[in-house]
Amino acid sequence: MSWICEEDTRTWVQRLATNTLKQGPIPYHVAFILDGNRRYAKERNMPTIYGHKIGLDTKLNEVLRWCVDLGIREVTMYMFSKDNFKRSSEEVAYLFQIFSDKLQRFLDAGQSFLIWSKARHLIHDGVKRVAEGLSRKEIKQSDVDEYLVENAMQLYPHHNVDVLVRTSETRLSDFVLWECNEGQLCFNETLWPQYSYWNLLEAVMLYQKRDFSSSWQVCQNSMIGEKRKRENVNTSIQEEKRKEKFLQGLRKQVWDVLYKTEQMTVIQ
Amino acid sequence: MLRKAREWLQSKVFYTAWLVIHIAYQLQLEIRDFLRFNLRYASKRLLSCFPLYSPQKELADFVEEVSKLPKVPKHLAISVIPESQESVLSMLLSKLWPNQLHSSNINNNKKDDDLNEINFECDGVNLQTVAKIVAWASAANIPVISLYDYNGILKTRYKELGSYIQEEIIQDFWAVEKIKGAIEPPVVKFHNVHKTNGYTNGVNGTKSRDTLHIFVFSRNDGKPNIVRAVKDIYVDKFERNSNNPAVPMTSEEKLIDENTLDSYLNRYNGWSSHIVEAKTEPDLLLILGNVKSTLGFLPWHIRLTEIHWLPSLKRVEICDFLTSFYKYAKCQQRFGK
Repeated sequence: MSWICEEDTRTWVQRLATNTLKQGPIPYHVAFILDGNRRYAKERNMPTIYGHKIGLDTKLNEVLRWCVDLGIREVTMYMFSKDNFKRSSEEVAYLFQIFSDKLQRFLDAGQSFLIWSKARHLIHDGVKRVAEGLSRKEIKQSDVDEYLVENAMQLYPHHNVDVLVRTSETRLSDFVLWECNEGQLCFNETLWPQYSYWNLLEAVMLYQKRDFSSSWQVCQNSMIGEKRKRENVNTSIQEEKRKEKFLQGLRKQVWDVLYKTEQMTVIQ
Repeated sequence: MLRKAREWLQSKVFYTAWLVIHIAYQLQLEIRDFLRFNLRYASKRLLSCFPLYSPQKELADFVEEVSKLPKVPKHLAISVIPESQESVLSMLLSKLWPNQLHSSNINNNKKDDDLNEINFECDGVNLQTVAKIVAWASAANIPVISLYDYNGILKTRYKELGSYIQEEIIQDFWAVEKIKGAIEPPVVKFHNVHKTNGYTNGVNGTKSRDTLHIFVFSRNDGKPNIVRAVKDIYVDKFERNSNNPAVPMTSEEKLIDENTLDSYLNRYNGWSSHIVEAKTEPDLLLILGNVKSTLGFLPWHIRLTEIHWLPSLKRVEICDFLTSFYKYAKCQQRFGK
């Protein structure tokens, strides 16, 4: 795959640690906030674009390879947002150069990808789409639940975020607010270009450690209780069909609009 | 056959190593936490024999240090993780031997012992400690505090909590009065709770007094409120329009944007436009306990919130609070720049 480092750079100790951790649950979906590229460059008295080159090229490829080795199935990366247009035009131009190069290699390899918008924007989109669906009588008010709103936000069904990893800062910055609301947060003080395999193993370890934490168990029991209450609510087959039909119609509608533009196969 | 046996042995060895790593990691966390707390306690007891330490001096130092910080949160959120009555060791043992009944026996005995004692705890949440933490935040001049626990224990017991908070604020008021020259302790006002008589700490506050706004949340105020907003938006924006075709809605009234959703959610949260001291989004979220998750805390409102972890309710101290404020004062929000 074009985004992933082809060489396995792990040491034998790291491979042994990986095989040990694989005995426990591995997070299905991990999100990364790639923060600290510019500070990394500043520390080394290098230009900002050097930090982006290391962070968004070398390190990104390496981390994706590690995720494949660990068996993590879905990865989401926060690389750029609308707010980043406030940066210098030179920096923005360089970032887009990296992105278009990577996207082109990805497309050439025939891989699929998804680009998300900001979390609040996604939540708002989901809410608006469901409200409009109610107005068109495609669904009833009793059909509206967290499952429907969540899937109305997401144009491609995917697993909720199990672990969010952020380097150097301790906030979410309008990223995966809904998807990681009950997931594990792993804030690391290192800068993204310095993120190591041991840091990733630590994130997996913290995810697995929840099973041994008494406080987590108390909350987990409540979550399981809530989930069972929601599942035990008798939903009829017609309700299920209505919801699925609505969601499929929604996705088709948006995909049709995007395909009609014929610009890129990038979807939001 | 030999290969299968080797694979079986390998998997058992790796599984045992995995279990040992986790047991060791969890135990070292618990031991470190235990030692840190008890060493601190022992040193305080020792220093109090000489006039080098007193809880009053610690509080006065805290208020003074916070007043010097360049940046203090105006809206502080505190997520309380309930303590389990089960010991970590019994949980680890249950992983090794799933049929172990040892843990349930321990729980039953603990309940019997607690019957004769005054118990401030409600389902693992010590309300007096929560009140103490709120009082520290008030002493740090934070006007808006959001309290959160997954199960809604704080929401159910807000009156009891309110009386503890008032006691603690009055008890600590001397430090605020001395350093900041405040005249009266603030009025405590609860929002987002089921009020029978309009609960504002039972005291008729005068207009000149500061108000400490306390919002109390549970899991149901998070994603379920967003679902509720969908239905209300549909009724207000679409159903109302179709029911009154003679009075069509303006384009502004029909608009559903992020501000619309924001206003609905803030309304459910009990946010009033009279609260001007802080924003609806918390500046800082403190999670009391070693659970690395927001556990369902208001997903819409934490997009730019700093998130810090403090020791659990039974171990948290004012110096941990101060350390978090130092860290908050140093952090920089770049907003994409």
